[in-house]
Amino acid sequence: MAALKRREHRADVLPLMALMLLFVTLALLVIAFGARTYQKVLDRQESSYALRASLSYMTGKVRALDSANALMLSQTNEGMPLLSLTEEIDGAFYTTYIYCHDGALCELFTAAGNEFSPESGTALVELAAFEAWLEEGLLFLRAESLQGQKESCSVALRSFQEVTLHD
Amino acid sequence: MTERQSPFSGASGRRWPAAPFFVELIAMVLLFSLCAALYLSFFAGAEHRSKEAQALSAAVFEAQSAAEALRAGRLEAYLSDHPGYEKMPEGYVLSGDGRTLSITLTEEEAGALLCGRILVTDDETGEELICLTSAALTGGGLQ
Repeated sequence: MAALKRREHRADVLPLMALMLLFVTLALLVIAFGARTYQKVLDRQESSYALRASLSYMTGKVRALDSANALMLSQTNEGMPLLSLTEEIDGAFYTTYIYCHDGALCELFTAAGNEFSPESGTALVELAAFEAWLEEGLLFLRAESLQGQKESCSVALRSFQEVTLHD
Repeated sequence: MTERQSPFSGASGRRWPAAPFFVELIAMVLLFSLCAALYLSFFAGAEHRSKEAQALSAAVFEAQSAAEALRAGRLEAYLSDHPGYEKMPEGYVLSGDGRTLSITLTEEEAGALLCGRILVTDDETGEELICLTSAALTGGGLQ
């Protein structure tokens, strides 16, 4: 008699346990979905911020220092594009280097003629890579975030006529 | 001493769930579904808005770049970097990345002033993401 009751009791508990398991599984699925979505939104936000900040910074710098022969495009030893902007301050020439190094957009402000050392620069914002090229007075900039998202913009150089005249 | 009653056996000892327990269970499941749906809809909304913000950001960069090129009189150079653009009677159309950028040259006065309306639309929804107007002096217009 006691054995029969125990069997009945076990049979009562099983559906409850199954329901509980289903409930917990669904709850975990919902949490996992939410966490994944949250992570995606956060990644996208970080990526957009990095791209906006880097492109705005570069265009702002180019506009501020846009003068004849001030802008030069070359490559770092690592083969990454290097944007150099030279300006004159109190009779002395200084160069601002903008480049990508160790997953970040870096800036190095140094006296013109000093050897370029990528490690000496200041990291501004996380960035995987950037490209820059010049075409008929338009400077094209393309940045790639660590998440792989790409964005590009172009800046019209006011000094382009002067540059071509000097060349 | 009273025997503990199983939720799956009624007062009469029959083998089906007791009514209050069953109602409570359904209510709990419904409540859980409602909360889950609300929770998921919030996240879906957040993701949608995040995508919109990203598309808007890209559209702003595109429109600003086109406006800058137009203002500097270097629209041809800008377009040459975007292969696949179409030349229309009233301007140019560029498509890519789920967006269409159209440059409509609206006005030209005595060959001096060139006005352009730059519009970026979402290909999927047809929604207007950004619209800019830019002007440029052309052909020695300062005289």
